[in-house]
Amino acid sequence: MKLSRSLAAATASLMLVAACSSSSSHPKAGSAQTLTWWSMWNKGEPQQVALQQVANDFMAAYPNIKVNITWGGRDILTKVRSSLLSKNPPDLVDKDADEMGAAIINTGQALPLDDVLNTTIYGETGTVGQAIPKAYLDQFNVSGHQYLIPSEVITAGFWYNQKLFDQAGVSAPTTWDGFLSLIQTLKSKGIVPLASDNENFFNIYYFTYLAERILGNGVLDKIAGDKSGAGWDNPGVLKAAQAVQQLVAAKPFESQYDGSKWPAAEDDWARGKSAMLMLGSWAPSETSKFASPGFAYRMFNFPTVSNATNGVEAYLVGYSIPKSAKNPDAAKKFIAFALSKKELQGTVTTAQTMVPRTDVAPPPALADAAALLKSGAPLTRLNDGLLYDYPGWWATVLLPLDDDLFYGKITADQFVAKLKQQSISYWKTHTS
Amino acid sequence: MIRAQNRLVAAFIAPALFIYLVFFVVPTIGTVVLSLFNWSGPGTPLHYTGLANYRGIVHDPVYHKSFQNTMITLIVLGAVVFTLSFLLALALYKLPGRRLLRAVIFFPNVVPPVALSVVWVFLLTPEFGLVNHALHAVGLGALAKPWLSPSLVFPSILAAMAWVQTGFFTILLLSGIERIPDSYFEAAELEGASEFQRFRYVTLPMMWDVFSIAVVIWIIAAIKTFDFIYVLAGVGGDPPPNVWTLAVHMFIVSFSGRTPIYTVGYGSAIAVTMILIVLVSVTIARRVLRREALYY
Repeated sequence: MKLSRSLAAATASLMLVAACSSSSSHPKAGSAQTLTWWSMWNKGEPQQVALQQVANDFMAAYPNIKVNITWGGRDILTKVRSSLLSKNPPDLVDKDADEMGAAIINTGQALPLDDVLNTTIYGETGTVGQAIPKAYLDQFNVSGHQYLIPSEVITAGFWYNQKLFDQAGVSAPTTWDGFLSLIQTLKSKGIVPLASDNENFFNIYYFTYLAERILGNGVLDKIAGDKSGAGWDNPGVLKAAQAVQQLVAAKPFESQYDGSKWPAAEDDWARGKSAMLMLGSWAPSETSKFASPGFAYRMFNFPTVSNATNGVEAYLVGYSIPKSAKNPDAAKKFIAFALSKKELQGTVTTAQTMVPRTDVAPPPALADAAALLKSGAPLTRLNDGLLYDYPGWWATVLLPLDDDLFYGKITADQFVAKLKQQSISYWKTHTS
Repeated sequence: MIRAQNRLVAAFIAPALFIYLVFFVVPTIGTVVLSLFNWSGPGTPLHYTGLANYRGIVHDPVYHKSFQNTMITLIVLGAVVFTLSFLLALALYKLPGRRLLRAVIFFPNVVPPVALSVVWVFLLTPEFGLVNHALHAVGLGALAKPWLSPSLVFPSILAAMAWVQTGFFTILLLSGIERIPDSYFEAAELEGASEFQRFRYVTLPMMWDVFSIAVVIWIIAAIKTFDFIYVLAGVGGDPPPNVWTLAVHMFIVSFSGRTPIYTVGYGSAIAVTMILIVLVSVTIARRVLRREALYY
């Protein structure tokens, strides 16, 4: 028995020596590794094309690491969570930061990436922590530990067709009253003011933005978490709902907008059939193939309602590593590689997106969006953080009621009364 | 001899029984146990909450709506599907070239539901959808509607599902009709029985076993309705709760589509209620449809 073990050990040692000697011809080579990466992008999407190039460049730079990518689409975290049960998770995951937070960071399944912040970016002299603005990193710094490294930055606002604005003789508004007046002017010129795609998470932009503008950053999130429901009596909530009601009453959308199916309305907007589109900064990337020749992408921030501070939404997409990943070191190397200026610039060009490094120029179509992020205005969370903090309440209480308000089925008063009553009822039987 | 035969039977049954126990019975027991806990999934602690998840279901308006949608699918859509299937089966039975027609009718069942749902989105979209275009073309433009709007999307989904399911049940019922000897129909015809009387007193009783099996298959399929809803009403994200069925509700609150809810215990409680609904519905259907077997 002892003899056979010794033989096995000797054979293994010989094999190891042989493996090392055969790969030692390359200066950067070590033992061969496979980096398993599950991505939120689908094959054929611009981001997928860009990230495949990053992976190819990474494999060229680290020939001993093979990157095995699954382009899993937006439901990738469902698969990641299942893989955690079977103790066979990927080494690297990319996804919207809020969803990643709820799926693996809040549940203690993510590896702290503090050491990645101190890692020198491939081919550069600075570290990851120095290259990425602190405001972005802080969003996923939990109890002093970093669990997500951002790779893409998204903001949202009203995208507008400059040609139609010029035709109507209007310019981008800064106040809610100015916005409503702009809608009337566009309508009087026979132009459909707003595109809407009948998706509840696009519809909710209006209420959450208005509430954030009226109540202030983070107040709606606090109200939602108040299980007594008392916060819904805040007059600002009703004022925000009334503003949505006022908008819907102005009939700014294309006819039969409630039957539209994404992405029909946003494609129509790019074709010049409507003047404005409330959407995230992925709008140019998503609509460019439908845009009329010479279409200039312009954007303005959601208007101010009261005198409250007008924040700018910063929503991140980023990388996390599951705690039980088998090759975390390879994943960390990849992150430090993918955040190099050269690779991020490639992503910006191919995917028409914004990245978290301020020294990487945004694509021309996102110049307005990038200027907003750089304006120094306070950064706000997507939907004031509601989706991340109270996902069950968000999906089963807020979104259905907001749809009723948005489609004119209930008034602002009814909306607030129902929201209060259903929220109290929800929190009696749910914990998240 | 009998003992040897029993051993042989046991040997043949054992693999299937083992697979059934491991992949069906054990997970079902696990689901019942999980339904008594508050659990957010892998890596999070399990908190025993007794029947709290079931109490939550009783007071949850979204569950009530999901249950209502599931029952509408089961009963209303079931009635439509079986009526259409019987009519088509009776029509096909007599038609020459029915093999080809049978293949055409069955065709939607071989296409993945996700692909079919996308096709239906194109049919029903207000601006360039074929349905509204066709209505305008034949002068019925006033009937053109936003079929995918919140108030119409669920009936639209049911219409699409009726189109898919009718083919399957037509073939199933047709197989029951085809095995009835022609002599019975000829005798009824000679006796002067009308078309309806032949159906009522010959066709239906003699294919009753096939019909009752079809009903059971329908009950299980209807209560599990998921893919059509998920795709047709949720291209850009999760479908809105007003169109959720119990299966969609269970999936979204347990595993998340785009919304990271992860209330696995609550989702398990919904799954348990689905099992109970299937058991009760199948038991009622079997009792109502029980007839003495006819041999011919």
